[in-house]
Amino acid sequence: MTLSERRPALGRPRIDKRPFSTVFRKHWQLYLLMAIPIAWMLIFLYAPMYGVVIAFKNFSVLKGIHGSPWVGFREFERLLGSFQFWNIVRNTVVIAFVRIGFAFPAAIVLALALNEMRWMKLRRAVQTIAFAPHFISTVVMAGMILTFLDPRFGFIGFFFDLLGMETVSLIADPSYFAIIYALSEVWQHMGFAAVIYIAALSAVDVELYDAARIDGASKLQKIRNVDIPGIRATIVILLILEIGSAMTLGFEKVYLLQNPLNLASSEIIATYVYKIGVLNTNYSLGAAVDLFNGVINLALIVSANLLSRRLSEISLW
Amino acid sequence: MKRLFLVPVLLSVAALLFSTATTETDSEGGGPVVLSAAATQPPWIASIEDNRLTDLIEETFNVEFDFIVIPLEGAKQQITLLLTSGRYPSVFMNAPFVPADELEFGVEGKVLIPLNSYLTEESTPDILSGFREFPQLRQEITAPDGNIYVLTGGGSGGCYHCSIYQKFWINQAWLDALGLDMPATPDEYRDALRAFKTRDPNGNGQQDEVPLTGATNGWYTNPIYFIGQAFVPYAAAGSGTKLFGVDGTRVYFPYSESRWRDALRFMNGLFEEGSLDLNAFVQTGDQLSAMGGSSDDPKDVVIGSFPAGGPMVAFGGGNPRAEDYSPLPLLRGPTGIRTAAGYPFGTRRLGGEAGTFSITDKASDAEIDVAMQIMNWAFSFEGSNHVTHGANLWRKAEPGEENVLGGQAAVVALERPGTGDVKWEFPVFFPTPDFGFGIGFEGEVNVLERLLNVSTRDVYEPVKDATGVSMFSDFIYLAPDDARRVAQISAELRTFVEQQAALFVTGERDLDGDWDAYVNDLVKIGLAEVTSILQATLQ
Repeated sequence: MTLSERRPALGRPRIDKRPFSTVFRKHWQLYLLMAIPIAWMLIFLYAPMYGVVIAFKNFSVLKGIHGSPWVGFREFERLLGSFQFWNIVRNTVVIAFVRIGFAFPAAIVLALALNEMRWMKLRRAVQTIAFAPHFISTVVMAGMILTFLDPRFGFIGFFFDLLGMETVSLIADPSYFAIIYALSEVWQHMGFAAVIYIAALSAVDVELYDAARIDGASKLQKIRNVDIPGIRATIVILLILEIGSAMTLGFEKVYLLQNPLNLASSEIIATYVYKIGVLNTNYSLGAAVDLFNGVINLALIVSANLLSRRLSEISLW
Repeated sequence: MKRLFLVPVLLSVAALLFSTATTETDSEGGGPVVLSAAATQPPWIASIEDNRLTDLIEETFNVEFDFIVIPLEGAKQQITLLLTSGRYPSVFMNAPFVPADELEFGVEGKVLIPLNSYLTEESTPDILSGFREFPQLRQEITAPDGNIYVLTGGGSGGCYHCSIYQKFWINQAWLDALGLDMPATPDEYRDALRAFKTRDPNGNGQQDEVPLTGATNGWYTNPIYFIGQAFVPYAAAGSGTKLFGVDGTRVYFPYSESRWRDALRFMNGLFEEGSLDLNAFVQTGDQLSAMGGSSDDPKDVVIGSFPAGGPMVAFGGGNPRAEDYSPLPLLRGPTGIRTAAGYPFGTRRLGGEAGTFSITDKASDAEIDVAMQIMNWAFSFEGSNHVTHGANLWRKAEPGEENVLGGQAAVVALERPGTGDVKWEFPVFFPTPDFGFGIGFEGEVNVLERLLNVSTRDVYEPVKDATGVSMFSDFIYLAPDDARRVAQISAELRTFVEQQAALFVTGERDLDGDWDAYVNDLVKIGLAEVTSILQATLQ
């Protein structure tokens, strides 16, 4: 019996067996309210999907989406046959998962640590400080990272000097790119991502803590047996969502951190499309890559969800 | 990605809102003609709508602009959306149209109308006299069907020194201190860098000199190109079709030749002996400028030489140390051929700031008439001065007034207020070929401006060693499909070439072992396909 099972189970919503028209008449205000987000989704998320057909067309601005001639899978063939493509997909996957590997646990650890903090003033201060980098614009952030890593002026170079090591330019080395990116993401978004966990932690039943204290649980035991089970569902759901959008990396930051020496590991799908498709207004190619990316994302989220349902019985659907 | 594509969508919504606000005013009956125009606005122009040049034109021609203002950044995408939506204006000004666009929107799409019948001796004498003076300009803007769809200015928009963009700067104070001559060959240049490295030219007792550096983004700050030019003609930081060269009738790609390997080998040597700074391939322009620093103490100067359009790239904030740098002449390499890539005066300009002008099929006769009058004015002496220097911010020079080169000035530019509302980009034509450097300045002569222009005239322009070799032109009319393919592949080629050059130079890849693989990869990217498209166009 774990402690968490003492919580009232969140049952499935009761299914109303009456005919829909009766239900609708009774709750029409709710349906009306729901109509707004549904309309929003249809207009802004589903209707534009029609435009994805240009991935299979030789899109010409003047002929429009409808009038442009079909070319079948030509853009996809060019893309998959492109010399750099698999390298770029690999880079995207590596950077995405290294980022999740660092950034995802970091937010949880920060939330747990803040939750343990009893001195409220300090707790608030730490939370605010951890939160602040989230609001720095990406361009400024990239400039800061490059300056930090500058072997002459950056503080990283200063530490190298201090340790008597030869100063090297980390951003020039392709093997560090994913790590640099991931750590900068941790620094920038950890505080913000922790908010959800802090909220989830505050919903954990206080009785459980009291019981744990009476049972003589240490701080770590308390975290392991009360806190983590308490926010387990939140963690899993967020992880599934995170994996589902893994391939949608922040384009700007990667682009701004690129240089010819690290390009072998820093060219990702988004930056490639920007350089080859968008800058040259080659919309068919851009659409093809985006569709490809979307399919990968869909596959990732479905399999993550499936895996999670098998292993933890928590899933999005 | 999702966000990337959202931007054009939002812009198009904004564009629709703008254009629905357009009211069709009847301009008959003495009132001003309403001219609906889309104009791109670069970040250094505060406002096109609220602009003294706009006011001047509106007054002079009894016209009222109805603008769709498009930020220069992303202008191409937004113009595409305007055309897609069908709510485009009567006139496009300063749109980044390239020849492929003229084919797509003009020859085939019939959205842009031919301007030929409006270019007459009665209505547009100044434009025609400009064409007579520089026949090449007319030739370069004439589409294959014999029509002109886009007017552009000749020359580099009043910027004479921009016509040869790839410059290189070497610390003259250091050369003097060490008693060295200006290097003329790669070997002499290497020796000078060695001396910079070892003989403490800044005299501070520390070996902190960086003989050669650069930056990844900046005004032609990548060192591989200027040095590469000494080995391969026109290995010169071109993009698009300008990545390629023409030798006689043969299209060649400088970066797949063994001569390029020699260039890389030379630079690898500089890197190995510590003359070439690794940061040239890593740092941004801002970091380069931080390296130059703001201290005007000669002991604090660490940069020996660097590529850039001008020395101020490495010295921000008007640091006078920038003036210590002299232009390094084009080096005479093993081929003996020296080439200076650029946009010669009186030829067509391309790109977002080029200043273009085109009329669409939406224009009424009254609009066409007034638009052509405005364009003719912009090609005249009066008009092009207003456009170049700002509305009423110039005067004819008195005898004895100096221009930036120290000669007799034709026109004196008055001090320009820093408000960004005195001019915007127009196609302008310069009535005399020396117009670009015939300008004087009210008050003190700008030393750096003079340096840039003098170095262009005296150091870079006179070099015409390459006979029968040229850069492949930007002004070719490829079929839209081919154009798209060429644009895509050459963008990929350029990225790859720069990346691989950095790897070869820094020794990450081996010039003997990995060279064949590199050339192979270029072919895999599509080098052969582009070369054959361009070769076919040339015939």
